[in-house]
Amino acid sequence: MSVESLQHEELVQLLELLCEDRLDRDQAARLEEIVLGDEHARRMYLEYLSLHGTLYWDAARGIDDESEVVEVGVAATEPIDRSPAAGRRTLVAVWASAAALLLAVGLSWWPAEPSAGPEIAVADPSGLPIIEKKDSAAPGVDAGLTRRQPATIESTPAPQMANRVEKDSTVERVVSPDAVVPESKSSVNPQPSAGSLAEIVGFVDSRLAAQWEDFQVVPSPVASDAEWLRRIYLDIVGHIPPSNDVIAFLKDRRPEKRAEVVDRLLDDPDYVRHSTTIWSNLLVGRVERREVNRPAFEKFLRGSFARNRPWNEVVGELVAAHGRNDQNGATNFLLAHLNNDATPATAITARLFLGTQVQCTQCHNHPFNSWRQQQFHGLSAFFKSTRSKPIRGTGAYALVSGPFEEPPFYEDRRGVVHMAPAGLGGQRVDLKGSEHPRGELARLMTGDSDPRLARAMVNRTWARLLGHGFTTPVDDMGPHNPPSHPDVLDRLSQEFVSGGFDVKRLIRWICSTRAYGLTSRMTNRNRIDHPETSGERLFSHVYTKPMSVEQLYDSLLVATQVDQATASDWESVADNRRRWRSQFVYSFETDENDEAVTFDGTITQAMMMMNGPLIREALSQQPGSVFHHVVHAPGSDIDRVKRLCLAALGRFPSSSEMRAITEMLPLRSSAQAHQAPVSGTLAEGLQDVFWAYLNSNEFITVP
Amino acid sequence: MSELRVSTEIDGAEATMPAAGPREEFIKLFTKYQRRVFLFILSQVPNPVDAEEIHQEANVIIWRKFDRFELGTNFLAWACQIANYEVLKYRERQRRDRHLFSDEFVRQVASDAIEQADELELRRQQLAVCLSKLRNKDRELIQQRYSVGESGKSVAELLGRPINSVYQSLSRIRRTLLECVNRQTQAQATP
Repeated sequence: MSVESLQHEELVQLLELLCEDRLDRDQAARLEEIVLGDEHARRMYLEYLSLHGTLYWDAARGIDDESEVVEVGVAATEPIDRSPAAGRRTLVAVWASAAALLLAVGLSWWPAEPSAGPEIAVADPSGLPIIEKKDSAAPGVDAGLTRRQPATIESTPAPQMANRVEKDSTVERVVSPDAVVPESKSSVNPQPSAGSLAEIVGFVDSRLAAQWEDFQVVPSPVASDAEWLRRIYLDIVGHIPPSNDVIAFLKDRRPEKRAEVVDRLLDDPDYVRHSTTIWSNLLVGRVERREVNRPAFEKFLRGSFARNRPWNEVVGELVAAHGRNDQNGATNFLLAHLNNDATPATAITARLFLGTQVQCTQCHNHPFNSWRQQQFHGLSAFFKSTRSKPIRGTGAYALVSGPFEEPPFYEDRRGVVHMAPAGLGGQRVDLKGSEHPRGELARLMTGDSDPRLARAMVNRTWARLLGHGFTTPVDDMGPHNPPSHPDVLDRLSQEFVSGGFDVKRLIRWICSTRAYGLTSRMTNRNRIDHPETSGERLFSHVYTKPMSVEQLYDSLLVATQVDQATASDWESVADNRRRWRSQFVYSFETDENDEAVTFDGTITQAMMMMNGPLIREALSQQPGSVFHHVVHAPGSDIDRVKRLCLAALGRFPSSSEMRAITEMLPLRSSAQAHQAPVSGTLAEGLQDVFWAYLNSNEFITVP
Repeated sequence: MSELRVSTEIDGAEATMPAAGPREEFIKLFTKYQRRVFLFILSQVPNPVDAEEIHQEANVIIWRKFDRFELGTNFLAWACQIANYEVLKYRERQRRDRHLFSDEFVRQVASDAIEQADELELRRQQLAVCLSKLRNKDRELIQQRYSVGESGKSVAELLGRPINSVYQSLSRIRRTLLECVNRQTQAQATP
């Protein structure tokens, strides 16, 4: 935040105190000082007092007796109908029986409604044994199923991060600054000056708890192991946990098991893949563009995340990149946004890296944002000499930037022409004679003087993990949109900077907070904590997120293992994924390279898509697939149902689901099952069960 | 509600009722600018109860000096002059050490307020739109807060909510309204 906007925030806070008659003498003096010292602050003072006074005068009746009310009540965005029925009205006949089953099973699981749906119980309350036969030596799923699952897992005390915290801080204490870290997994050396994990997490936890108390909110209980594991897998590696991992995790009774999973997943190659997906979608979009060499770009990102390069370094490279897009992958970011006078490049750089929206300041002064018109043009000055150049005969493009010519001029709304010296925030730079203006910009953005790079990344990462950022939208930060927890945002940002912009560490901090470990289910005692309806975000429970297209696709592969059946190399898996994804992405050719993913939220369409080839393959009995394995593995039919549920939802069926399924399917005991293979009718029934689980709301939600 | 307050004020004023034609015109102006004079005073004396008191005194004077006002000239400027004088009188009555703001501050704010009077009036008109856009829950809270005699504190007690949470909610709603008014006025200004 610039000095300007910090002062602005202080001013608003003082004005708030004034409105509630709580301003003390010193604060009044400070308010005077700010107001008298700045023309904008004076204006702001009057606007605030005028608002306060009008509300008082009209007693907020909302009816203006002197002027016509122009618009009334803009329709509130209705939450998408996620009731199971809505997604199922359009079902094709083939799936009718499965749909009936789905309804019967009552997978009306939707976490926002605490009253609805079955509990995510780790152990089935009925205490049904997973597998009774010790001789079922099949690999994979069975490995974990061979022992009786004790029904007491549910009452295992919630694992805390305590042990882990100790361990971590010890590690950080012994690392001396000049010690060479040989073969370090992280290229970022831990700085002793940075707070330890325990300290940082403790701070965040205490700030959140203080607010819960202020709002008289009781946080939701700790998430069950099954819920938590599904969340952390989807958040860090981008897909649901495979059945074996779920079973191993449920059986593990050690308190440090959650912390260990976080560490393990951060070192998993899929962390790199998932991070690459997220950032390539943000940076160049999902739509294919002529100027963008996606493989080269993804390679650049993969390298950056695999080595856990400091975030400021990565951003610096993206902003300053030049050269051929097939040789220097980083160039593709700007090449994707150069189509119109550098304006989109300016806008996306400010939005993604600085959390600042400048698009609307281009032609007029944004009324409230301290980003004046001049600042927009000041930022775009850095991009002025940047061009994309096709390289003859190769299909490649080059990002070239000539020397700085002269600062751009722009006309304001009154037609007065101004010069816009290059600059960022409050800093001005003389680019005259500069050979590489964007290099200068990269230096300014990633240096110590502008905290926005760190704040934007912290806010985005927090939002990605907890379901909401400190601001909404997550990339529109600034005085006009104050953060919900300024102290937490400040602290995490400072630590992120002093810890050397270590992205993995940032994720580890956030995943270690108490808030991240809570269930997403609300209780009657934190009902007001619901940003969409009450406007309050208290993080007293985790906010659920819809899966992204990629998360869904990758999760379907994990759940069904159909790709194992058609054994393909990594490249063709990636290709299939891209093709599959393209069904959901439409591009609007606008200045800002907007694209819409029809997937997010339109469950109905997703359901239709999911009834496509992928699901058909998933339910066909191809050897190697999960479904094939479940049908052919030894064990009772009830075990088969459990394994299907486990594969799809990472938990065992609830007792009500089990009851519905046993009523509809001719399930046999293991002794009976031992004598004859699964009949055609039963296999169809199991298909329906699997389909129902894969098509449930629970499947497509990050809990 | 505002009209009610105004009419009692007129009845209670010990003033000779002006003659028919100009009198009606004067009443019209007087009524029309009540709120704006109040807001002008509030900018200098930010406590609404105190501001209201000063406003009532100013009203008496305005009414008394009716015959000195030339119809066709700027009523608001004239009334604000009187109001300003009443603010100064109020500050003199008050012990100096109880002043929240310095003389310099009050002077500066008063002159800004007159300069920006029209702009502020445009913003005020947009507020009605913005109130209608609030979520019901937020609108109810802000209505409660600004009901006669209420404060953030009394609303917290009434609702049985912790006081800080009410302050936070009110702050969020006021910021939302301000931002909405900004957008609305911007939209009006840009064709």
